[in-house]
Amino acid sequence: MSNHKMYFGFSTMTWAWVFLVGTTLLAWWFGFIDAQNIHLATTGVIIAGATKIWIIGHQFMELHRAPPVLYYSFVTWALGIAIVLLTILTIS
Amino acid sequence: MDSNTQSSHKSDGFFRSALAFGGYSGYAAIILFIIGGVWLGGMLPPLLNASDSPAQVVAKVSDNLFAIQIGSIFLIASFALFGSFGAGMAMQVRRYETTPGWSYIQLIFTAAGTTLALIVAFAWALMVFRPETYHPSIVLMWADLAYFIALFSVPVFGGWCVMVALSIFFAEEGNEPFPRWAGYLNLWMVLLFAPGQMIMFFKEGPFAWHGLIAMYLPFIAFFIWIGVMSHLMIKIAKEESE
Amino acid sequence: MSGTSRPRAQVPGEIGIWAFVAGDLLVFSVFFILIAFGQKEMTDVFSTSRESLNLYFGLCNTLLLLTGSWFVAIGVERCRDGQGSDNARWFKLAIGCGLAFVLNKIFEWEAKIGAGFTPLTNDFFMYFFIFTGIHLLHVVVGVVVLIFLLKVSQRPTLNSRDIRTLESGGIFWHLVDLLWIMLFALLYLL
Repeated sequence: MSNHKMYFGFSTMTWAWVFLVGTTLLAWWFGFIDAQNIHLATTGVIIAGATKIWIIGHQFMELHRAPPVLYYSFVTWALGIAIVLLTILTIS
Repeated sequence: MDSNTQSSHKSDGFFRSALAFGGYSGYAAIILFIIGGVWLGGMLPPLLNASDSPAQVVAKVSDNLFAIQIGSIFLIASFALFGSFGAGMAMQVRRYETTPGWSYIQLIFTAAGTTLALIVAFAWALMVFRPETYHPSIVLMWADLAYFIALFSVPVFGGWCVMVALSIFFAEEGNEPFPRWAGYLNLWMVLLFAPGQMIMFFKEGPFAWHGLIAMYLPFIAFFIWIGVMSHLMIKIAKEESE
Repeated sequence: MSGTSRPRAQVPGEIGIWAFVAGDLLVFSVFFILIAFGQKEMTDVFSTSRESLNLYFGLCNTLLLLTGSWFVAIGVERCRDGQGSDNARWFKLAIGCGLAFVLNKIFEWEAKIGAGFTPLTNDFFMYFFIFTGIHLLHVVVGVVVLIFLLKVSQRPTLNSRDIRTLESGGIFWHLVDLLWIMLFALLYLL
């Protein structure tokens, strides 16, 4: 039995989807704004991506109920790849 | 005793000798490739470059002629053993079938993969047979042929891995020819071989036939695959003799 | 429903699928890093080339995969909990999303190639075609997996092995989604 908590009539799965779609549309909208600081824009894009990846892992892949080792390995990877990419992209 | 399930799992000493041989063939193939392909033959790391001119190719192979010639003999020996390696995997799967199925499919992929690999070795050998006589672009073509057969054949070698994986995943729960993790490993191998299909489009960079992603990755992954599956075959043969 | 929900940590699917996910993430991490280096070293080429990409194609693809993942997650959950009458429909919807992705991708590539951009144009487009191509292969395999999950979900009773199959197959689909999120960010949004 999992994920039977309902928040305002929607399951956590559905909220995850709403958040994911919302973030995606938000990122798209940001693209139209002239990025004053390119580094800030880059950071935003990567962090948003990593966050969405975390949500997919935590909710859809059900890592929230997985043994901590597995869940935290995933989080470490998501964080790690974000840091590595940001380092490459922003440090000149 | 249910004759259907029990009898096909029985292994006697004669069978175990064949299975172990399959595993040791794999180990031998790896060692022979290291001698013939890595050390002497200039296959990996690549002596040649997909953007080399025919004249450059002739010059490079002529400078290392004898080493590559000897290397190609070791390559033939290595690749011939793909046959017994593959048959070893198939015979282990066969034990879990009442009527042959996946084992048959695997044998065909073994035959195809082994034959292709042998042609790779022949092409490598012809490349250094008489480079001074052939038109330089023919010498280049032997190199192209060797790498294309080895790398562009993802559906064959990758397909081979898929057939091994499927024979594990479709097996009865807890009654698999190889451990389930090996099934997942085989699927990962397909991904690692996949960039080899790209060599058609590039003569420079990581996706050319001398490239990091299209050549190094599939070659190294392939021999690691042989190593792991060989280890499993030998382990199974040993465990059942106790 | 029988039983109370004890917070017992359980590997979703089976550990083997996670090993595969780890392997896939390793390979794609290399791809992501390559794109990042390219962006850093050839910023002008990359930025200019990126402008030729149609963001709507990318956005559409992202939404298709996210929605497909949602459908798969719901389907797996409903099958496991034994609730819902037609759980197969969630997998059918997800397959629809997957096929739409493939179609969309084909249209996008046709448009690009028609406009003269090929994997040989420059490094950005080399990475674009090859990495989205390898990802597309994952989507195609994913659709095949979903078809298999659809068949499983239609069985009258599901045993624990079936549930494990559904979860593992679902995890592969979510992996496909996840990989696209980062590819989309690096190729379209930067």
